[in-house]
Amino acid sequence: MSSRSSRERLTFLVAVIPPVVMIFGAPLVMPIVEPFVFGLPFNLFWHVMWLIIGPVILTLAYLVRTRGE
Amino acid sequence: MRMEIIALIIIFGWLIVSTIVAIMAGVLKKFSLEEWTVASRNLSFVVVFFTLAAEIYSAFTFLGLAGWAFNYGAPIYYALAYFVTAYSTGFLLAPYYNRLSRKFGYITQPDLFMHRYESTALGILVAFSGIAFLLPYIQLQIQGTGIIVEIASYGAIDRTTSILIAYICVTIFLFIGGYRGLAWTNVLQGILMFVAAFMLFTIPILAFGNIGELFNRVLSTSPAHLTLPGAKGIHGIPWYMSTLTLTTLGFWMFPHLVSRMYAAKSERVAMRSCAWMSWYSVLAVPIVLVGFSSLLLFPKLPNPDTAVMVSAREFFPPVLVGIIGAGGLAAAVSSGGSLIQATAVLISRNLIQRGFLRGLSDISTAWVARILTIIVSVVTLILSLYYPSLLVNLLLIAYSGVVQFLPGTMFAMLWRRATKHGIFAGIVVGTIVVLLTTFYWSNPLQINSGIWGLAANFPVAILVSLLTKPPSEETLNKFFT
Repeated sequence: MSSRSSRERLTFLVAVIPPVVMIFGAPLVMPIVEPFVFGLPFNLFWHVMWLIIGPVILTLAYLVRTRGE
Repeated sequence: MRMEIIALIIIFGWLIVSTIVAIMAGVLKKFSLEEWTVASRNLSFVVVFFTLAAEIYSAFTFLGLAGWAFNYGAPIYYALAYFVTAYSTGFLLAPYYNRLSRKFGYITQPDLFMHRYESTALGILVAFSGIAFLLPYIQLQIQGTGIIVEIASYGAIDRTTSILIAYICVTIFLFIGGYRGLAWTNVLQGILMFVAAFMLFTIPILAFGNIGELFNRVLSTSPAHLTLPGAKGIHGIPWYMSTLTLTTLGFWMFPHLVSRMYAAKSERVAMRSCAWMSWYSVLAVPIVLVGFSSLLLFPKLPNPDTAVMVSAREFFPPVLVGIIGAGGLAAAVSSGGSLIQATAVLISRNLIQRGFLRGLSDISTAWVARILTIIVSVVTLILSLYYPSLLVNLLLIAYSGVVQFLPGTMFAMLWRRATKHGIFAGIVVGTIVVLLTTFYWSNPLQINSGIWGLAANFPVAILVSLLTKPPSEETLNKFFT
C-alpha cells in the first residue's frame, strides 16, 4: 500500500512538470522571438517542442504509476 | 464537373459515411442506459484516444486558432500550451474518474457530487451549471459548421441549409448510436485530420517557400504579432499565465469530458490516452501557421475565422478543398454531437431521474435521454439560426464557470472533511465572482476571471466545510479506503 502511494506521489511530481514549466516559464520564454528555430520564432518553437516532449514525460509518469501492477 | 459539386460530394460523402458507421456501432449493441451514455465502459485505447483527439479538433480549433493568430498573433500559443498542460491534469484525474465510475456506476459528472457529498441539491446545481455552459459551445459548433461548409462548397450551399443537413445527421446517429456511435465518428475524424493537417502545412510553404520566410515577413510587417501582449496589446503575460492555468485546471471539469474517462475500459487506457494526446495536438500547429500566412496573404480578410477555408480555396483544387472542408465539418459536428449528448444525459439523469422524477427506471431514463437529444438539437439550432448572440455572454464565462467544480472534484478524493454546504457555497460564490470579474470589472490585473472565482471558491468551500456536518462515515469510507 505504501509502495503504491509513494508511486502515486512520484507520478504526480513527474506529471506536473509540463504545466509548471509552461505556466511559470512564460515570462521568460514568451518575449523571445529570435533566434528562429526550424524557421519558427523561438517562443512558438518552445510550444511545439513541448507538444513533443510532454507525452514523453507523461509516458514516464505512466510507467512509474503502473510499474509492478 | 463543377468544382463546387466535387467539394460537396466529398463533404457530404464523409457525413453520410460517418452517420452509417455511428448507426451500425449502436444497433450492434443492446440498448441500455450504460451503453447509450458511456458505451458500457469498455472503449479501447484507440477509440478513447480519438475521442479525446476530437475534443482538441473542434470548430474553434479549425476556425478560431487561425482567426486568433490573424487577429492577435502570439497570444494564441496559449492554446498549443494547454494541449500539453490540460492532458497532464487529465492524466492525474483519469484514473480516479474511471475507478469511481466503475465502482459506483456513475454516468455523469454530477453523479459524483451527489454521491460523495450526499446531496441531490448539489448534484442539480452542478448539472444545471454544466448545461448552462455547454449550450453556448453547442451553438459555437453549429455556427462553425455553417461557415466551413459554405466556404468549402464555394458558396453553392448556404449556411442554414448546411447546418440543417449536418445536424439532422448528428441527431439521427446520436439517437441510434449513442456514445459508442459518436466515438466511432471520432475515429474517422481523427484519420481525416491527419490528411487535412498535412495539406494545411503546405500552404505557408507554397506561399512563401519555407516557414522561416513566413515569419521573417511577419517580423518585418507586424512584429507585435510574434510576442505578448499581441497585435492588439491586450494579452499580456498575466493574461497568458492565468488563462493557461484556467484551461489546465478547467478542461477536465466539462461534463462531456468527464464522460470520456468513464467510458474507457480501464484506468490504464484512460491514462495512456491522456499521456499520448499531445502528440496528436501537433496537428493543430499548421492551423496556427495558416493564420499567420493569411495575415500577409489576405490582410483585409473581413472575418479572420475564415482564414483556413479561404486559404484552402486559394491554394488547392476542389477535391482537396472538399477534403479539408470534410475535416472541418467532422471537427464541428463531432464536438457538437458530443456536447448535445452530454446535455441530454445531464438533464435525463441528474435533473429528471435523480431530481424531479425519482424512481424512473434506467431504461426509461435512457429513452428520455434519446428523446432529449432531438429536443436539445432543435433548441440549439433555433437559437443558432435566429438568436445567434443570445448565448454569447455564457460563452465568455464557460471555462471560468466550469472550473468552479474543481474544489468539489479535488476534495471528493482528497479531503474527508469537505461537505455539501461547503462545496455548494464555494460554487455559488465562485460563480458570482466570475460574473463580477467578467461583466463588471473585466479580468482585473489582466488575470482571468476564472482564477478570481477560484480564489474566492476555495476558501469559502474550506471555511463552510469546517463549520458544517460532513457526510456519513459510511459514504466517506467508500472513498477513502
